[in-house]
Amino acid sequence: MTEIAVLVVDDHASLRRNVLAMLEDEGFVVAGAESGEEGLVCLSSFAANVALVDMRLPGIDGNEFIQRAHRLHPALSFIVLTGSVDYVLPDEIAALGLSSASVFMKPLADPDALFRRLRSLVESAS
Amino acid sequence: MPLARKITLILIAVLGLISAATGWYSVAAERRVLRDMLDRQGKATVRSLAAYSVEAMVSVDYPALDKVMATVADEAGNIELIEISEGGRVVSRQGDRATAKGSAFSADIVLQNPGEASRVLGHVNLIVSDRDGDALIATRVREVMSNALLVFTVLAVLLPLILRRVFLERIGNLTRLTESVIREELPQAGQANLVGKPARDEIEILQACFTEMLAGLRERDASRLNTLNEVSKARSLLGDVSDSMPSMLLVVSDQQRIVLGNRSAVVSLAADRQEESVVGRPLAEVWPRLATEQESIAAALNGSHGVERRIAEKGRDGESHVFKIYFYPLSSTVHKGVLIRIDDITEQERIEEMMMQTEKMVSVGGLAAGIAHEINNPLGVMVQAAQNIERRVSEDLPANHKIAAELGITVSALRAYLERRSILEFLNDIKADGARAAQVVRSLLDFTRKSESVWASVAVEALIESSIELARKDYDLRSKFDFRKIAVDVSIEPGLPAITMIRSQIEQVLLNLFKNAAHALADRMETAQREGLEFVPRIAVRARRCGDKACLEIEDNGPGFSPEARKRVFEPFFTTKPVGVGTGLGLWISYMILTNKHSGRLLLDSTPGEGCVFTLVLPFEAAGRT
Repeated sequence: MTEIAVLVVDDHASLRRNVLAMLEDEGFVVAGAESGEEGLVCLSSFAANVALVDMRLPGIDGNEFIQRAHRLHPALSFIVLTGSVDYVLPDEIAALGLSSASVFMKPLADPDALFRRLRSLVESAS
Repeated sequence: MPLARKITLILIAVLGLISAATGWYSVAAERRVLRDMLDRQGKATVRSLAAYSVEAMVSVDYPALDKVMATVADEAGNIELIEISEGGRVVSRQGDRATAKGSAFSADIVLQNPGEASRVLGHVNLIVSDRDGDALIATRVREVMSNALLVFTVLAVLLPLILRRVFLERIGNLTRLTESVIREELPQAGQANLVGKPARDEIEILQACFTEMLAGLRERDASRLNTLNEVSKARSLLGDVSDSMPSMLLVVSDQQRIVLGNRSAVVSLAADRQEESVVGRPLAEVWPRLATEQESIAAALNGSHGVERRIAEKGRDGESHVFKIYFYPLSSTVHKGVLIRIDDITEQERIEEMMMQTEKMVSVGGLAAGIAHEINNPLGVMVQAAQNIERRVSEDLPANHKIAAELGITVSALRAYLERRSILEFLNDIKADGARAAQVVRSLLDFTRKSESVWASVAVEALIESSIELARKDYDLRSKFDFRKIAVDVSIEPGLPAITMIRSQIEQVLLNLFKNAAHALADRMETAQREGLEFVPRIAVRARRCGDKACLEIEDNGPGFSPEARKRVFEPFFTTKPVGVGTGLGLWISYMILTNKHSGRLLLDSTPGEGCVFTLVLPFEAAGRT
C-alpha cells in the first residue's frame, strides 16, 4: 500500500507537533502548517492526500483554506478539526463532499477512528 | 293670636251662646207665663164685666153700665177698651176704639133665670193692654243682657290673667327648655321644618319645638346606631383581617401579659385553641423562649421603632423551626404595650436554600462548561504527547531502532534506564491522570452537546430494559462489582404511556443511578462480609403514573445517605466515593438532564442504613424543548 500523505494545518504548535508524531508513528507521511496561507504554500510542494484542518486559524479561517485548497488540488480530501461542540458543516464545504464523518472534535479521544477515516477517504478517492 | 285671647274669645263665645240660649228660653217662658196671666185676667175680667152688666142690661141702665165699666177699668188699670154691645149696637164704651191696642177678649152677657133658658142680652168686648207685659219682658231682657255683659267683661279681663298664670307661663317655660335642648344637644337638627301653617299660638309653638326636638333626637339616635354599626363592622373586619393573617400576632402589655392574640397565635400557643386560655397569661408562661427576648421587648416598649429578631426552636411537631419575630411598639395613646409579629419562616428558608443550591449548581455548571472548553485542548495535547513518548521509547517502532542505532545506543538499553529511573511510571501517571481529567471534561461537555438532542417517544419498558443492559455491559461496573449479580426487580404500571424524551440522556441518567446503586451495594456487601452478616443486594425499578407525569423509581437496599449528604448529593463534584473513583458529576448531570432538558425532577429519599430511592419525574409530553 502506498503511503498516505497528510497535511496538518493548526496554529496550536504543541497540538500540531503531537498529532504529527502520532500520525508518523502510525505510518503516515506528514507535514505541518501553522496557518491557512502556509498550508497552501506547503501544498504546492507536498503532495498530500488528506488535509487535517483546524477551523480556527489566524488569517484565513479553515473554511476559506478548504475552499481555496480544493480549487488548487481537487483530489485533496479534508478532515475538519474543531473544538466547538456546536459545529455544523457549512453548506459550501458539504458541497465539496465532506460529511459529518469527517468532523473530529478536539481533543482527539479516539485516534483509531481518525486513522480509519484517513484511510477510507484515500481509498474512496482512488 | 295668643292663646289667652283665643281661649277667652272661645269661652266668651260659648258662654254667650249658652246665656243667649238660656236667656231667650227664660224670657220666652216668662213671656208665656205673663201671657197666660194676662189671658186669665182678661177672661176673668170680661166675664165679670159680663156678669156685672146683666143687671144694667136688663134694666137697660146704660149709665150704670158706664159706671161698672169705669170701675172695672180703674181697678184693672190696663184696660184699653171695653165695649158693650147689644144686638150689634155698641151701647157703652170705655176707652178709644181707634187707639186701643192689646189682647181682645169677649164674652156674652147672659141672663140665666132659674128654671128658664139662658138669654144672650149682649156682648162684652175687652181689649187689655200688653204694655206692662212688654215692659216686664223688656226689663227682663235688659237684665239678662247686662248680666251677660258683666260676666263677659270679667271673663275677658280675668281669664287671660288666670290662664297666663296657671298655664301659659309653664308652656312658655317648656318651650324655652325645648329650644335650649335643641340648641345645645342637637346642633345638627335642621331648622324648624314645619309643614303647614306657621305656629300662631303658644301651644303650636311648643308643638313645633317638640317636633323639632323629637326629630333631632331621632336623628341623633340613628346616627349613633349607625356609628355603633360601623364600629362593630370595623371591629369585626379588623378581627377577620387579623385572624386571616398566617402570621401570629400578639399584643403584650407593659406587664408582659398577653392582651390580644389573633387566631394563628391562639392555635399555635393555646393547648385547647381557645383565646381565653392565652389572653391574660404572662408571656413567659405561654412562650418561654420568646419571653427571654427581654432586650427586644424593652426596646419596643420604650422606643419609637420596631426590633427584628430571628430564633430557631423546636416546634410542637418535634421539628426544628425558624421564626422571624418583629417587636413593634404599640402606637396607641390609650394602650401601652408591644405588638409582636411572628412568622414561621422554616419553609421559606428551606425553599431559599434550595433555590440558592440550584443557582449554585447552574452557575457552577456554566462556569465548569466554560473552563472545560479551555482545559480541553491542552489536556488533549498532554495526553497525546505522553502517548507519543511511550510509542517512541517502545521496541515496536522501526524508526526508534533506526535513530537509536545512529546514536550508538539500543532502544532496550534506553528503556532499561527509563525503567530504573521510574520515568516510564511517571509517563503513565501523566497519561492516566490526564485521561482522568479529560474524562471529567468530556462528561461536562457531553451534557452541553446539542448535537445528540433527538426527541422521541419511548416506551418505558424498552427504556428500562436497555438501561439495565447498558449497566450490565459497562466496563466500570464489571470491574468493581458485577451488575449481573444483583437482583433487579422491574415493575411497570400497566398501560403506562410512552414518554417523550432524549433517549440517550435518560439512559445516561439511569445508567448513572444503576452504577451508584451497584457501588453502594458493593460497599454494603463488603461491610456485611466483614461482619459475617447475610446481605442480599437488591435493586427495584418501578414505573408508574403520578398525576399527569411519569415517575420512575430506582431503589436499592444499600447503606443509604445521611441527611447532610442527601442535601448535597446533586451538587457538582460532590461524591461519597473514595478519591479517584468517579467524577462527582454523575448526579449533577443527571439532575440537569431531568430539570433543564426535560422539565422534570430528580428526587432522592433515603433512610440511613436502609437504602435509598431515586425518583425521576418526567412529563409524558415535552412541553418546551430546550
